[in-house]
Amino acid sequence: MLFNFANVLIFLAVGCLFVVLNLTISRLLHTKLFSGEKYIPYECGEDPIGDTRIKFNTRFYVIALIFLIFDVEAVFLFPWAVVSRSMGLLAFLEMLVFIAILLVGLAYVWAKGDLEWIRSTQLEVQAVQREESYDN
Amino acid sequence: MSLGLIVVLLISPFAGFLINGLFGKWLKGKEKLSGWISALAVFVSFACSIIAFTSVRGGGGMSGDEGILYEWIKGESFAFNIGFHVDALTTVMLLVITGVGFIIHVYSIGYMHGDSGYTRYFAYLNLFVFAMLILVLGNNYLMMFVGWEGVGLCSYLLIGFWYEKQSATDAGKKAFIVNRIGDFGFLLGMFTLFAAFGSLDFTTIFDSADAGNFQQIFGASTLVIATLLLFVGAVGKSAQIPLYVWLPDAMEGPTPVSALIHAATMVTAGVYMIARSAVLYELAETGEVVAWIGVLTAFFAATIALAQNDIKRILAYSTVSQLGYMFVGVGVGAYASGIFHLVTHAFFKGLMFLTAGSVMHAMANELDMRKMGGLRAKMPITHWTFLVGAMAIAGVPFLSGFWSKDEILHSAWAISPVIYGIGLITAFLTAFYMFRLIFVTFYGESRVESGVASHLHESPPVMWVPLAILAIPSALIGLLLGWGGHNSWFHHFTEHVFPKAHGEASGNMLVFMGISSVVGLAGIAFAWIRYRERVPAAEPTHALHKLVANKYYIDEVYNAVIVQPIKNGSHYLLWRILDTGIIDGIVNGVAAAIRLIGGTLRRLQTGLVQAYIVSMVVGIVLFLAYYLFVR
Amino acid sequence: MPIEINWQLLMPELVIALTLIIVLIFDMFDSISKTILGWLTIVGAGIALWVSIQMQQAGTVGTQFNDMFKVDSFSLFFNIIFLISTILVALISLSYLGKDDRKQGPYYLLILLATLGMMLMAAGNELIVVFLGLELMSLSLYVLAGYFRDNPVSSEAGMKYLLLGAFASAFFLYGIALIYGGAGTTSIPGIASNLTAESQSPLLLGGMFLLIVGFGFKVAIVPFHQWAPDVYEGAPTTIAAFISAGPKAAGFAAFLRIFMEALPAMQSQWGDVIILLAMLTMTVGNVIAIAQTNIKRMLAYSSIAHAGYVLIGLAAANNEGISSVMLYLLVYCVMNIGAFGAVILAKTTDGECLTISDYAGLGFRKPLLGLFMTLMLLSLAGFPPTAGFVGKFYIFKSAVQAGHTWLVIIGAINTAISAFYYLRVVVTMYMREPEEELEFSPYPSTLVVGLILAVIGVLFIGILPSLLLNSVQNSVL
Repeated sequence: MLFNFANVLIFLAVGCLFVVLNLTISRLLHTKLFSGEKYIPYECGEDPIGDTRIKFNTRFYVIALIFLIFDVEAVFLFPWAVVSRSMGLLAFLEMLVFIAILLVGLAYVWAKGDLEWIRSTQLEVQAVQREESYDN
Repeated sequence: MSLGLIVVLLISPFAGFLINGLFGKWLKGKEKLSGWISALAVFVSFACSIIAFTSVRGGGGMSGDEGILYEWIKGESFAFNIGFHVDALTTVMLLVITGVGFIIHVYSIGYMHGDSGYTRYFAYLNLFVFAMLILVLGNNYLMMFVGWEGVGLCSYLLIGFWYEKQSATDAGKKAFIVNRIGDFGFLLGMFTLFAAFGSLDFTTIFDSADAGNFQQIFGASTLVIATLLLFVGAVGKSAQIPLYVWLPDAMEGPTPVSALIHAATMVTAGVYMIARSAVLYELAETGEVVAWIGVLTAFFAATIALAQNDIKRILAYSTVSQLGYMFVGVGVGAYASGIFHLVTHAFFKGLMFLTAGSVMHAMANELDMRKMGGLRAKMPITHWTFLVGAMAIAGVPFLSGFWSKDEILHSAWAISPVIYGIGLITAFLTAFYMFRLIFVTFYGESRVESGVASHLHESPPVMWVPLAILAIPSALIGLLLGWGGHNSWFHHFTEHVFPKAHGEASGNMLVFMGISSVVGLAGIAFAWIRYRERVPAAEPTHALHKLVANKYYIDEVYNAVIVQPIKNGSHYLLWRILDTGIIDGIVNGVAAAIRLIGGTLRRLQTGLVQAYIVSMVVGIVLFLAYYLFVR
Repeated sequence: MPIEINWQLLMPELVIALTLIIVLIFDMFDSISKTILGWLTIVGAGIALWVSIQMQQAGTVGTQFNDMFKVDSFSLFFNIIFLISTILVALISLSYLGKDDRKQGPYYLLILLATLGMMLMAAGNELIVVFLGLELMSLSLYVLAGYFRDNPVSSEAGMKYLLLGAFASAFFLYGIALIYGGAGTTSIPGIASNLTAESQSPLLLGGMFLLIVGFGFKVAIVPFHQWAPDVYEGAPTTIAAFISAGPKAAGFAAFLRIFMEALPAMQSQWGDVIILLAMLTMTVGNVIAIAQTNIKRMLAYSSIAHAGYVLIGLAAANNEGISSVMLYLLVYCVMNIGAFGAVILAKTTDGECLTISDYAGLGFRKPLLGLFMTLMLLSLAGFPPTAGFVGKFYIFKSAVQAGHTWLVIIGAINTAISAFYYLRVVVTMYMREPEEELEFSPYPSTLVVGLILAVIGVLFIGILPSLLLNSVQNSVL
């Protein structure tokens, strides 16, 4: 029982090592140019210091959210890849359906114009026009 | 007989009610359609009733578990079922309700022509038939009570049908309030039965009562109390002393309503209820109370009818009086005779009300018979049909009323000669006031105002055909079903329904028949002598006349003794002192307290999310504290 | 390792998922009229309802996905409740949303997602699955509550619901974690088999209590109820109807399953709390409802009070209790959606009538509206022969049977209090003269159809309860 946890320990150690190693290598290699911006903590594109009651652009979160979905899709693909051979055709079809549903979601977001960084008002204008044509 | 038949029978008028009630606006311009839909609905019920009747005649029927349509709600020790009890008594009632009901529906199509509330009227009328059917079909007291309240509601709605008229709405209210007293008694009776038997099913109650197998909640007098309380309900619904006062006022409603509800069907519900509970009344031996109330009412109402000049009022008091006879019948244990009188009365009284409506129709709603006279020439059919009805009620030999009334009197003799005597006097009075009405209205010189006289006419066929149809059973039904007195067909048909009466009718039947005939004919002759050419005086001539003409001042007495004290008591004692002083004080105190609590609680509902989270956390902490420290 | 999937067990959920994708695809193309989406939703939910009823009648039982998903008559009965709510809400929404294309697509999408979440909750045989369903449902509802984003009140409702809901979800999840700590599993049958009456670790007690808090929030039990009036008032009226019906039933479904199947051994611990909460919820809900002038807020407090009545059945913790709760929830969903529908029907040219005094004289001037409203309120108050009476009767009966007579007495007193504010609306409609003449919009036919269905449901269950009752009594856990 206890021995099984050794695997976990090794993973933990390797994980820590990986981070430390990469950061060290990067520190050794990168050019050392400092500017004011770089001293500010990074917070998702927002000003981290100041009044909290400000208007901020929500586009970033929408994009992040959409990205997250595909991130999670990738996570699902890993365990699937492990067993897909033994499960045969069914697993393949299922993953196709899964990806297809996500693709439909992507298409929906695309069609609604949520992938544009600056959302076009054209769609809204079109919708209003359609509505007016109904009323007439 | 299948349950499906009974369901169709019951649902059909309800469907008529829904159509007329929900699509009234749509039917507004098509009043014929509305009326015929409604009449058709009742006719379907009538057809089903005939099938049920033949099935019962063939030995069929429905009682106990087989009649249960479904279980409504169920508890540990009780279950309320929607179930039907169909036996000879039920089918007789069904035929009367749907048969007479159908004819009156058809008559109404003509009578209500042009009324602004046409569809509303037919919706109510269908609803009434539905409620009345529930009343007689139910296999338990709860269903009977549902029907009982349902017909009460419809009666209220129809009495006050012309609600623009102050007197109509007042009469509606009066009927409703007086009935409430009776219904309260009925309700208490039901509670008593439920406490004693743990059930409200007829079969269960009657079987247990027979076996003496029930909770003696009031000791030995349990059944006495239960039956008397139920009888209070019957007194209210069937307009007996002292609760009869609503029925004469109920004539404010449209005349077909008076015919259907306040003569043929609803007011006889009390008689039906007692006949249905015959087992209990036999065991409790409370029948004599019923008979005495009945005979006193019969006499009392007949005397009032002597001095009235309003046609419908005379008929109303006559109804009260005849209902009294029915109670005498069921009270002395002659259940079949009581129900038989109910049937004959439904025909001839329904007929007379409809003819009165026909007269009103021609006379532009005039009801005072002093302003009529000589109508025979202008309205021959109305005259002849009315005459048939009046002869039937007066007990002219071989017409229907003769048979049923005679049976009741005959049975009463065995219990108490006094009841018999009063009943006989009443029979004389009945014949007298009925023919007084006939002679003054249809014979003699015409006293009709000239404006009305010019368009005095016979009613249209849609009205006189029903009259003619009703006249046939009024004349013949006694001969057909009642021939042979206590050995008649009707008695054989219903013999399995009722327990053996405690007193056997004795004496020679023919002697009693002879006496009754003589008394009835004497009444007619006396009326002929007095009113052949004379008109009742405008003002009462002497003290007794005045007393009777003013209905013994009973309304005034009730007003002075009951209504005013209650009003004053309510106003001064209950309202000024108890209500505003004490109760309001308490209520206002409680209200102020609740407002204070509410105000405090409202302050918690600040709309601020932080505050909500705080109150949630406080709740959690309190509950956790309860777990950790209190338990 | 081949996995057997019994597709038939998943039919209702699959139908809803498929409908969802179809709605999604249809919403993408501008050339398709968006009014069709609502009808698609109704048809999809209708098919799922039909399938659920068939399965329920056939007595289908089975588990799926390593016992994480359990289909039995209990879950199928709740599916029926959810789907009926969804259909009714979709029907009353058709006219409410108007012709604005932009509003239609996401609306029905979210309603379907929430429905899927509820179905998952009722069928969850594993705390984590229940939580997944709960979140799927809640997240959709947060958005729906704030659906009219140009309306500040609606936005506020959505925001509040989100913040408080997230807070409650955290409690729920924490409760699951503690129970896992105490019982060593999150599977509902697993917990039941690992627990005995003696095993009363503080972990389990704490976990159980936090679950009550989590559910208490979702079904609006005092003192976790405060979001309800604000959200109901601010949210679109159709959504208020939706939140008050399906999700509440779903909360109780999972509540019942977890407490009756996983934690029966600890009934002595949770029984008292439930009784206390029931009394508190009924009383506070009803007393505050009296003071309301806005009809949506009044209905919000009334729905809080109704959660209290349901808790009475839960406190009884016997078979009758469960079946009465199920019956009550079905009845409650139909009549509450009906009441909100009647509120939508009372629409003047400048908006809905939301103050109770606006209803003065409506009974005679708008007879149909008066009839609908009166019937629904009478049913909510529990008058025979409406469904509300039957529902309350069985709830009270089960509690009497379990020996909680005094709880029933408090329940009955509360019913009397509640009659006051329900009947006040009826009295206002029929016996008060309107202060000003309001101009009413014509009735939308789909809304009227939805209301007629609700009326039929209320009267049908009220007059013929036995047809339904057998089915319910066979569906207990």
